[in-house]
Amino acid sequence: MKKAVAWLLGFMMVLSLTACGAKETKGEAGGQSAPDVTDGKEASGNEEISLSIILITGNEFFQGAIDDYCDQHPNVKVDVQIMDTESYKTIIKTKLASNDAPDILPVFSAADYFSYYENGYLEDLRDMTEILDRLNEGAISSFVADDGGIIGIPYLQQFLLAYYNKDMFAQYNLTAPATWEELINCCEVLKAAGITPVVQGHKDTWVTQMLTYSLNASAVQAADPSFYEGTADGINKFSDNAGWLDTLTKYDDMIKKGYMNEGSLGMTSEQMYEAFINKEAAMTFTGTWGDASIFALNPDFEVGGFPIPAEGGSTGFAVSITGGWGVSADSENVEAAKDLLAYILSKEALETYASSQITCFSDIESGVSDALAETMDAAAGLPGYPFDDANFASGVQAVMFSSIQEMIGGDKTPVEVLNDMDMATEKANK
Amino acid sequence: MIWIWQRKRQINKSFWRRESSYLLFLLPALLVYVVFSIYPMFSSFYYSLTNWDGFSANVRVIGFGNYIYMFKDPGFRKALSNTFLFVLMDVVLQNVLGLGTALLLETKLRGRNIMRGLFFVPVVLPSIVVSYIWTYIYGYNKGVLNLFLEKLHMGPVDFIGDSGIAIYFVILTGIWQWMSYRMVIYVSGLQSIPSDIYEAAEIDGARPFQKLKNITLPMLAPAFKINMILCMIGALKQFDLVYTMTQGGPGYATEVIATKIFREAFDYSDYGYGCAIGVVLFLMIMLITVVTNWFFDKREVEI
Repeated sequence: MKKAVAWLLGFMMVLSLTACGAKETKGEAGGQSAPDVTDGKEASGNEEISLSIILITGNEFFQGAIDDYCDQHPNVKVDVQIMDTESYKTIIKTKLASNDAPDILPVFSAADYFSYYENGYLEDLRDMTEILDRLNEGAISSFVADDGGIIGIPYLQQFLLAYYNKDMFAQYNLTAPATWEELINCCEVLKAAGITPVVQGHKDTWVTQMLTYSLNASAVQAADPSFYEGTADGINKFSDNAGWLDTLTKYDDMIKKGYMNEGSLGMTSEQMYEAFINKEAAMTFTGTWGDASIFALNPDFEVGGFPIPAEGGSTGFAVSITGGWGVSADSENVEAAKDLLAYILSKEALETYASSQITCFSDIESGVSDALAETMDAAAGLPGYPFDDANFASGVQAVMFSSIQEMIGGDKTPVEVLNDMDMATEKANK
Repeated sequence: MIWIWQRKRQINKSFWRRESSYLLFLLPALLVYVVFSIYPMFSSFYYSLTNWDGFSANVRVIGFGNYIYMFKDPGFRKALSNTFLFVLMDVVLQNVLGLGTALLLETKLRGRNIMRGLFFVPVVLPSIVVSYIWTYIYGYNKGVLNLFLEKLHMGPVDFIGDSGIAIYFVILTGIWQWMSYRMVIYVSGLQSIPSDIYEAAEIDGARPFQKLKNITLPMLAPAFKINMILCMIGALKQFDLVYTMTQGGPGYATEVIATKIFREAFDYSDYGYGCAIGVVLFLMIMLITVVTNWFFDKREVEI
């Protein structure tokens, strides 16, 4: 008898273990498997539903809309996680592969995300017509997969700019530069006066893109519109592109001439904003998301903005609809997730919570900060080009980050950075 | 012949009768071990032979391509040399400092119990906290060390932002963190040495240095062994401090094997190559552990 009990216990233990290890099978590629009928019921019923969502740092304003939604739907619980872009991009791969992705997740217009969609991890959002119809014309184009599926719904427009300290500029009779030559002149005057012209926090690798993509909009994308058509496949090489070389050479020059702060490789982006607010530098190169950090620190001077200009004046403007919302195909509550998504992107919610953002929706008037308004005025009429990495093969952006860091540290030349990027493209296509 | 066979069967039968319940109790642990250790190990080896990106459904076996690429990859060489620098500095400095403090705290020093506790604090701190504290101390802009240097009229140093020196300061942080762990093992080793050996040596007229050289150090061999092995494995697997302090940067200046694996698998979506490096790291750790074990086993002193 005792033995029988022992066997039984042992058997149960084994059983419980194998149950944990059981692997769910993945849906068909494309994530177009029809949602269960129960999903629809759950969304409107009173059953407890828990949803999870990841917000990218700087987009915390969505929290308000999520709270409102939960108030209206007491049966829905939403777990919100906030993380920065780079951490998110790293984490999401493992989360998707281990069926642990949040129901609603940020989706970027980049190679990896189309690949997630093609492998059945992302839901096709084609049927969310009510939201899609409200988008600005063309805004969705960078989120359409080869099969016509929509991998994410964009909500914000972002562009790159230089924030500058207007008081400091006025003190030295400087105005917002419209050409690279004028920008260099500003730097020269400020440096002669003992002021660090530009502060950058290169410890956070994404910062290396700010000057690069700003200049590339004119030097690469406007100058040679066909260049990126074959870049991801390795047909067009970065090292053969004069615009890229020019951009990185200008970057390198700024470092060598001391126009950027010393020790930038040891400085994070948050410290960079702090240094700008504490008047340790006259300018900082970043993107629209800088607004949240800069104005949260209450600057006691007037903050202006301008698009970082190209030599002889810009011919393009780095403006991007790179960020959007997607829905995980593994979500147990696809319909509920879509319902929440539809709410936080509704006119009502965006008007309440995203009034200071530049949204992609035609029915939302944006009341942006003076710095952003000034930048938009200066860039009026310029064609907008997406951030360059939308055209890279997977992994190339990460290599570019590190190689530009090495260039800043004086360990690499601009040509070597471009060679690294070519090698990374080759590796991605192996 | 039949008799032997029957006898054998009887033994077998009684063996199972006697041992089956014990074996059964082993089963859950074994299963956990297989599912969470053995299986991932073998699947890593399998994936190291593929071009898998970490998430897609199509996995193509490419043979030893990833291993061949490793030899051509300057990034891997950099990570390897940084890792060995880690091992070298960790093994030497952690043990020298750990043994030094252990010997100091074994003398009749006042407040040594409090000091033992204080020395142990860094070990208890999570690595993320250690890295934040030290990132702040090393900071270029108003970092504690640089404020101190300023007082001495010396220029600011970008301790972890300067690619030439960053790796040393990350390693030093690790040594600060783990030094007292070595110390604790040495303290316990010292306490296990019977005092009558020292007394006998004193009667024979041994001087303090002779006692250290001829009694303390040989008797500490087991503590040396465990410290060396733990130190080497810890340094070879080093990830958390590097990742939280510098993420392997600036550029690749502080890249070690573990951050290289992470970068390849998750930043570059080259899971297969990441696994290949992981397999090599595993083999390296195994080899080094076996060699160290053998080296010290020969020199251990038995009482």
